[in-house]
Amino acid sequence: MIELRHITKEFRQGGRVTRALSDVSLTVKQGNITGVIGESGAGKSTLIRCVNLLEHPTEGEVIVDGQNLMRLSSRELLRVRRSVGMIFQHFNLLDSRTVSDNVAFPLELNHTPRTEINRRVQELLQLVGLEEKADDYPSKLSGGQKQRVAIARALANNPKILLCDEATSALDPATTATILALLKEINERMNITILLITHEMNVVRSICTDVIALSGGRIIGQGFEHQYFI
Amino acid sequence: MVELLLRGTWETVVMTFVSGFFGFVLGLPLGVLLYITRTGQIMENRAINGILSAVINVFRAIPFIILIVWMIPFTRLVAGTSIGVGAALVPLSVGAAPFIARMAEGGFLEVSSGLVEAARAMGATTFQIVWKVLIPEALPSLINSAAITLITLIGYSTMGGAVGAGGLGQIGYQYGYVGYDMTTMNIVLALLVALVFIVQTAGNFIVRKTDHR
Repeated sequence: MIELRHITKEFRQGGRVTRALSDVSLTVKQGNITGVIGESGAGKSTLIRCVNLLEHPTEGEVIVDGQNLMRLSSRELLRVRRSVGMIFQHFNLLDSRTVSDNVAFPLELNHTPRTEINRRVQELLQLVGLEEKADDYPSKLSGGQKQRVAIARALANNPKILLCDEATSALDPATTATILALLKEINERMNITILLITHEMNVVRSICTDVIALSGGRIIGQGFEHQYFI
Repeated sequence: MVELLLRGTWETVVMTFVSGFFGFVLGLPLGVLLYITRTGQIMENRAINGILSAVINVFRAIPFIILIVWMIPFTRLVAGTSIGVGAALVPLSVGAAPFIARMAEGGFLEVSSGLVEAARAMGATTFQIVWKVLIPEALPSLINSAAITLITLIGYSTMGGAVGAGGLGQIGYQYGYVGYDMTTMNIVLALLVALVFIVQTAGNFIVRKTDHR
């Protein structure tokens, strides 16, 4: 479903070049929950941003659902991004919009008719258990509730893939467990492939079907049978 | 006299709000461009950003009273005359635009970069990011900027009054400075103070209504 081939990413700052990723290749199979684990600075964030080309790799190829993203026009890339959901550590909800308008946001981007938006938003809020909060603003919600809204928003366009960027790192352990359970449920019920990055081993252990360890921009271990995870 | 003061107040209000409106029409797009062309932003472009920034600095450096005189040929071209409320709108709008551009840029800088990133991840176009993320999220700060701009424009418009723009400035100048009529001058001052209070209070009220942070 997702294939990264020999990804290298360098950042230029002034005259200095820092290498965030060196020759990283990985495959995420359809229907899997793949976790990438590593300490901060390992290149996890850069890696997950390469999947929807929020960061352009310096070298390598990104293949998502059979398409080589590096060869797409910017218009085609927008369409691919609309079919890949993403959630973030700090939720990134729009403070100026209510819960339901936040969920409606990605639907507005591709000009979905209003009645269809309303129907879909209601359905999604039901899925994440926040129907009563529809007209509240995000500032009134708890961290866990905000992440549920973000998940509903990420699922609005029926994506095949969900990218999770440290999605539970700002949450307490109990809330983390409920969000992970929700992600697991989404993966099983809707057959959505999930790629998540985290620095917490218990996240990987509780829901991932596959695991990759990243350190210093390189893959240092893969699969639960690898010594790194034992 | 009362009629004169009423007309003066009305002219000042018209000059302030109409030039404020045109100042925003010119300044807000400039502010957007200034922000999105910054290094690391969605339309990063050093050349455009550098040129725009320099032009804005130049216009902000020109004292308003000199800008009015300096712009007279252009004002005649646009308004057909260089005297009166209509003519004053031209330098007032041009004077306000770079000020508004900088304040809008500041407002956009307060918007969390995570929101722009999330919108990009959802496949938003540059226009959609500006229209659906940056402007709504910066709205309370933009409204606050609008209040500050209008108050500055009240001051600018009275300066214009000294060179024939009309409004309270001209009355204060003619009756107070030229004619030593302290009563009229103080009434003009009181009216200007009242205008400033009304604009700021209204601005604060709207900011409270739109701010959901």
